[in-house]
Amino acid sequence: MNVLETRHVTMRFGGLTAVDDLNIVIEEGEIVSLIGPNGAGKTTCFNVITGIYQPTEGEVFFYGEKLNGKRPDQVASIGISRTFQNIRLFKTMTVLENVLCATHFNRHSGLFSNILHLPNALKEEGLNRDKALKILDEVGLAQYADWKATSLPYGLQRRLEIARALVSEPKLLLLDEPAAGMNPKESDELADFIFEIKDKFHITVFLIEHHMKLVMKISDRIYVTQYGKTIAMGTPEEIRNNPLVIQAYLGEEG
Amino acid sequence: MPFDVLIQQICNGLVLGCVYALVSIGYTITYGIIRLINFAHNSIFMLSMYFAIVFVTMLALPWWLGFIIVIALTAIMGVLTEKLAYHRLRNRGAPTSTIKIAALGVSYLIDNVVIVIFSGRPKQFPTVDLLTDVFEIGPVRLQRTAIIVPLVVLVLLVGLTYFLNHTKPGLAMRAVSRDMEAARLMGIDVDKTIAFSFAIGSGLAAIGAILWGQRYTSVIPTVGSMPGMKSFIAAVIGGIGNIDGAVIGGMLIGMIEVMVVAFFPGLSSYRDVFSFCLLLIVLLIKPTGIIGEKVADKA
Amino acid sequence: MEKKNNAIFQRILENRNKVLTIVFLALIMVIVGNLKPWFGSYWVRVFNTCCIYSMVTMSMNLVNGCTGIFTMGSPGFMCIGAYTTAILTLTPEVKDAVYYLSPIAPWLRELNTSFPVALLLGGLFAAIAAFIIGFPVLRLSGDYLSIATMAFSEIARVIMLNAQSITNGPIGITKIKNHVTVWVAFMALVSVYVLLRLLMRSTYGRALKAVRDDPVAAEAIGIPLFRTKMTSFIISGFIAGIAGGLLASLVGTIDANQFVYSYVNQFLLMMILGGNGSMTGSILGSFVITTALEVFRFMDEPIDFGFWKYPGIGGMRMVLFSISLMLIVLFWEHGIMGSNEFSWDRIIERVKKLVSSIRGLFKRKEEQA
Repeated sequence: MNVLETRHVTMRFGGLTAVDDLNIVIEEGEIVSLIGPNGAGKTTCFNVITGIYQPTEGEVFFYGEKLNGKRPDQVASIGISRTFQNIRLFKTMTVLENVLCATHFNRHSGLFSNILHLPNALKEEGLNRDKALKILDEVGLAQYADWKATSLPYGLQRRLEIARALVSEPKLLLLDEPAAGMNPKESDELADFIFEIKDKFHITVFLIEHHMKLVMKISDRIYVTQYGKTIAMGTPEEIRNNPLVIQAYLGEEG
Repeated sequence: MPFDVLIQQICNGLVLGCVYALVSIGYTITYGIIRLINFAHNSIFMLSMYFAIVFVTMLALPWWLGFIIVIALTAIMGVLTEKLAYHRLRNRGAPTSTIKIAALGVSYLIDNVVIVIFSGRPKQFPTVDLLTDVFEIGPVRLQRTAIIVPLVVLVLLVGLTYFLNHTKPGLAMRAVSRDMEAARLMGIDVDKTIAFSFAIGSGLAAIGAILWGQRYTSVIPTVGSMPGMKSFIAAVIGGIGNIDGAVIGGMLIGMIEVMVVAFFPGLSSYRDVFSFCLLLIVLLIKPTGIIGEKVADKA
Repeated sequence: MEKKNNAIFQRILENRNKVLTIVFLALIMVIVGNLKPWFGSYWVRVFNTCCIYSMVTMSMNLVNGCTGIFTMGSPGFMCIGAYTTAILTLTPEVKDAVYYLSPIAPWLRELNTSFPVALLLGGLFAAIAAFIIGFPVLRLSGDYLSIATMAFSEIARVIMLNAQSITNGPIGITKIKNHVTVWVAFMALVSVYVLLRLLMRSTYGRALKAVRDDPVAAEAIGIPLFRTKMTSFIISGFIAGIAGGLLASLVGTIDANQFVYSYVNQFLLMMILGGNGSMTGSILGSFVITTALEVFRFMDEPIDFGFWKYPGIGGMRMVLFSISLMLIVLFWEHGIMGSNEFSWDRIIERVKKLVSSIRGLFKRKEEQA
């Protein structure tokens, strides 16, 4: 079953075409990477999938359901979670509260029972709290639960953002440059971490990354874009040997 | 409606629109440059009317000299508000809501000081016969302001456009409004430019106030709130940050206000609401205003 | 015996905060109950005004401080609440006397409810108004949103000013019976405070804060921006409407010009003084500013200093007031509470710090001796 499929997705801003005829197919349980030089329209692609932008042309499908016209919160509530390139945490909240926020859309108790702290609301709050603590435990943040989110070190902030994305039990996780700003050791750990959460939460992972070593290590398949156009697709091995890619991307880095 | 009354009403709308246009330029310039809705602008407008009373009525200076002093003093007051209140907060990186509240505070302060000094009782604005005499074209009787005000505004606008496009400080203002940090790196004295923009905005508001006073001669400490509010709306309707937009918005509001009352006298007690309704409608259809470009809320 | 005492002591310690709250509440209740004999009816009135203003400020804080959308429409909501309460509590006979210039609409004349019902309906109408204008307004961003709410407030005022057969036009409504006793004002304040605190502690409160902290991230984790803002806006309108109704009843007369758009300034300033995002701060800010305005009244009266006779300048207190507010905004922008709420733990921590620093001071003196 195709988890995600984009058909001829094109995104234009005025005269600039940020994404040009993007066709991506991601199958269940895969880890797929999207790579390309800066300004290749990778984040724009994420923003189109998650509903921040509506594509100028083309369609996006999630388990066969059309995503066009859906708002970001609707996209999130049907099972697509994401992280951001420049970490976006709720800075006035604690680590635990950050994770709890992501359980909001899934609530069953209403506004009044929540204001009055009626038993059903309290029970739900308790369950969500347990779930959030469990996730924090699994990503190794349990002892920081009551810390201010922004007082965490950088690498842990990344983990927190992923934990927040996971608590709603998504089917597809979009990671926007998760290894940005990490040293080789940290990014090795990140690779293990991604494998781990993929197995634990039975999710499909789609990531944007610059860090070639990480991408080659964890990806089942890789899409390469340049100036908004997809120039290659294949397994890490194929991509490594693709002359077009070497010229366009790897060649630049030497 | 008889022809002569129609002409009169059109002229009324034009004069009103011109005043709104002048005042709204002040709002638009400061917004364009520092993204601040200067809530104190209407108090500056009011203050300049009291300056005129002091210099022309009380000190009995010749009207032209008095008005020049008024314009200069008002410009200085504009710069002072920027230096004493907004500048400090901006440099400290205070959130925009705090600066907005500081603007409200400045407005409040000016209003209260004026009340203490001049009391709340209405005062007479010094009118100038040269401007207010009535003349006749055929059956139409018009005040001279109907001709003079649009002329003055036209001259000022041409001057302002020239200033912004062909002089060094004008180009610096445009550069700062485009990208403050880049302008700073290019060696533009940003603080000076911002102060300058406040001076221009306040000076134009003073001219607007003097012209307003020729028509509406009763001056009270809240005199600025309605014209100020409407000019502000004019700036938003035209596309805040954009000078052409401010002029178009001002004209539109002035005309609509006069014309709706002229054609539907029953609505005259609602005249102050037209502009607010127009504002809501424009914001709904095109939030950036008639010719406004999208100003990105930097996330 | 001693063991039993110890056990009781232990339990008190465990529930220290609860005990402190009960003691504190009891103390406040005693003060509130004796406000009139101790301070006189003038200060009772000031206290009631403080309570009502606190409610308005908290309602603004919910939207501006907690949800991060800068709205300025409170006077409009208060206006709606005030008129609803005023019209519904007047009996038909009194209405005939009040609407002497042109009579009230017949269907309104007969409408007469008890004060609490009128108050709730006032809040409800204000909430409905919030819902209706929220649709267009809450889709706007930043400054445009503030302007649009301000426009709404003005439109509401001018409509009220001109709807002669409903609101008695520019004459306003007089002879409104005063139902606002100290206890009514105090209980209204306490219930709003408690409800808002509970709201902010619930998952809905977290959603509001998430929208404020980072709207993009909030949306990406499934929090609908528009609905969340709308919820906050409606609750805020409801509270402001109720406060407006209480104010109408307390003051006894209302007219639309009372609710001019610049009325919002004073609540904004109370909010900033108390601390953006803190309900406790809003109450403190409202009490401090409202009381200060009363205390500053001496500025308007002549004072004899012996060597110099201050003539008493009308409006001087407002100047002093606006200057002090500017100073607060310029130099103390986090206000009294910052974004923190009242908590015994924090207070006790503060006291402990204070005590230990005083002790340190003494120790140093001893050492020097």
